[in-house]
Amino acid sequence: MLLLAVLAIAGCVFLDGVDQPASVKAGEDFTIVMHNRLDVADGGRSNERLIIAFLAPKSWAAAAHTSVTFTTTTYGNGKMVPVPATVLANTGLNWPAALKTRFGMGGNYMVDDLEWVVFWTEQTYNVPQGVKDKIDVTIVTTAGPENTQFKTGYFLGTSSEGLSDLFGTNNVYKSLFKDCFQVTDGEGDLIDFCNPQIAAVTPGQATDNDMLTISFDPDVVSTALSTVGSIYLCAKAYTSDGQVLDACASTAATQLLAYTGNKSAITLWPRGFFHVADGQTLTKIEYYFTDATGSIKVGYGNTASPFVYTFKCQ
Amino acid sequence: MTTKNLFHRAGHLCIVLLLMLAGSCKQSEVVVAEAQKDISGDWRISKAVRNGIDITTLADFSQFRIHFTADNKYSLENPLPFVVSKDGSYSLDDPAYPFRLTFTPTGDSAVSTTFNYPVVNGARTIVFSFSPGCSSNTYLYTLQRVQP
Repeated sequence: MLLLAVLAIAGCVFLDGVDQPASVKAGEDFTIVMHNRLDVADGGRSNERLIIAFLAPKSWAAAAHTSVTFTTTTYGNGKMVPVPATVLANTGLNWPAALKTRFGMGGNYMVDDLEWVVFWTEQTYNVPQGVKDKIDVTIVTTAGPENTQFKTGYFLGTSSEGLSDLFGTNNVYKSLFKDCFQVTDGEGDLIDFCNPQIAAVTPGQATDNDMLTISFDPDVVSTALSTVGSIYLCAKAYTSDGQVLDACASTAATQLLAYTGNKSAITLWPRGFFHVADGQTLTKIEYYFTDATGSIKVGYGNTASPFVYTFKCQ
Repeated sequence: MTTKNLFHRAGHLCIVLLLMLAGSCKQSEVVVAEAQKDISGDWRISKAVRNGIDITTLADFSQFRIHFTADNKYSLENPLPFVVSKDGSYSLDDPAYPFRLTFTPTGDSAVSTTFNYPVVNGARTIVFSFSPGCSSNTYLYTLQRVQP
């Protein structure tokens, strides 16, 4: 009985909700509030730290540009600091890596460009059995300069329990994922973590007199073209004087060639590809990927909408 | 040419390095006369690099031609992004040291560009660096003379 009682010790945490704006302007500070509860029902803990984490694009360098504070009902208020990279969760990985392994990136794509940003309480606390507390954690972070959208994600846990599943997955830590969050009024075309990036264009900034490489990635998400060998570009270009130039025939000139990994790509000079007349300039192109017959079309986010590339320089 | 003359010339070609007390180096070189450069003829793209990445095999660069005539005219065939997009005239600022080339497209203002003129596999190549679109995108074309 005693052994069972010791084993059953668990500090239960609950993530009741997260307040965040739906969107924020690039480069601006914004505030996130995590509403948490602690309920130590079956045993006490000493030298405990509360751990929180949130998802952010790596380009934000959020660990260095975030301040985290908390309020409690009985333990006073305090601040949180980044968990050192040398501190391992009980899975043997450091916290950002352990959270990525356990939760992934919450349904986002291009996961290597996102990270879990992990903070814990600056102080350690003793939490005897029977403690019930409300803990509100306030995160003030700075959005990066780029136009971005990603699905936000949050984690709540404790230093003593880590990612232990001894008591079932829902006792000692919690996670919560939300819908697409937008950073607007920033630089460049949208960096979209919310939708699969079937297509990518290099360079990110270009005019119609650059060489553009438009690539198709068959591994991001299964599409109607996943098993098709020869893929073609079907594109429309818009001129600044209101003309629409069409290039949608499946020919050698529109066929994608082998690119990196399983990707294929077409590298083209827009002025030549669309036969742009002297004095005309292109403002944007809309495009699909198709098969040789043109009957299969794959668009933005694997929908019937085209991908869009806007010509602009910094 | 006498033996004495040969020694005399060899002496001129010596490069003298003076190690200064302050620790700095001073180098004096004897100027060797360069042969006049002649870039007339047809040139094709043998290598294309965009922002440091080789893109030669990603698109068809094989059809592009630039033809330089001995009387300082140039013409483009199957154009691609380049320093200029229309035919016109060209000039080298100093034919003996032609590392700046000025294109003057007919009816347009002149575009001056630096270029390299290295020997690769025994043949002269011209390397142009330019930004025909966004200034943040830089292209490096290596041109090879098309053998008639």
